[in-house]
Amino acid sequence: MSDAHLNEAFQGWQQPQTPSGVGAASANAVAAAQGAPVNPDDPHSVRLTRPIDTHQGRISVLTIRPPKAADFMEIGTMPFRQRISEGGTQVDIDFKLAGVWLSRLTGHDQSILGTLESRDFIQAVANLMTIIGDVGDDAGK
Amino acid sequence: MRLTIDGVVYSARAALTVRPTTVEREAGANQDGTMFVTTKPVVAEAEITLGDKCGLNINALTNACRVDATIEIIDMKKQWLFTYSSIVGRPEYNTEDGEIRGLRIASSFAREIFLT
Repeated sequence: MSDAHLNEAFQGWQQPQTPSGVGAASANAVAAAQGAPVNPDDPHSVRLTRPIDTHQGRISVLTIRPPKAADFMEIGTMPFRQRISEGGTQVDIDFKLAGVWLSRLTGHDQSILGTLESRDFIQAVANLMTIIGDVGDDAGK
Repeated sequence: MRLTIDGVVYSARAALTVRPTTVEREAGANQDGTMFVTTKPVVAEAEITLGDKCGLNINALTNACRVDATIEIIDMKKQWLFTYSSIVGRPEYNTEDGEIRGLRIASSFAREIFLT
């Protein structure tokens, strides 16, 4: 995958403009379950280009819950590192670790998430980075 | 093959034996030679043999209730989903090679998923 493609996928992470909070995520998840359109600006919901089979049945929307302290403590590290240099900002992503985070925050094991289309997984990782980034932005407020 | 139980990946030491159906049918013969079939409900099961590793908590595994287990057969591009399952049986632990046998995944909700 080219850097340009990755940069495009993570454009939303570099300039997050998404609402955060449990209320928005819950409302979006309920809407998705009822077949209503999912708010594309909500990082907690990922509309899948190809549905996957899970223990909860076939899903077309992947719901990512907000992380709790236990998630950070048990996983121990973030799935991405941001490096700022003269040439700009570069993000290094650990996709394996991102899979661990997504498994924990979606409730689907990694074997299930492994059946995602690549584009859906990349989108989910981008949304995950937005969610974790929002947590950092809110810290101390 | 990859085995995941309640989000934790385990190393399967030996081949799994999967009994995926939730009914068991038996055939018998009437006195006139015609056949009858009886159907008995059973739980779907998978016999598992695990390899021990650091941090593996057998008590936590056997006490787990209503967990989701995924068995992925990589070369066959197939998954077995045992949903809301329990780990039953009496585990036997071999200290020489770390093999843990005697456990079964049991569920009344088991599905076979073919991967593309």
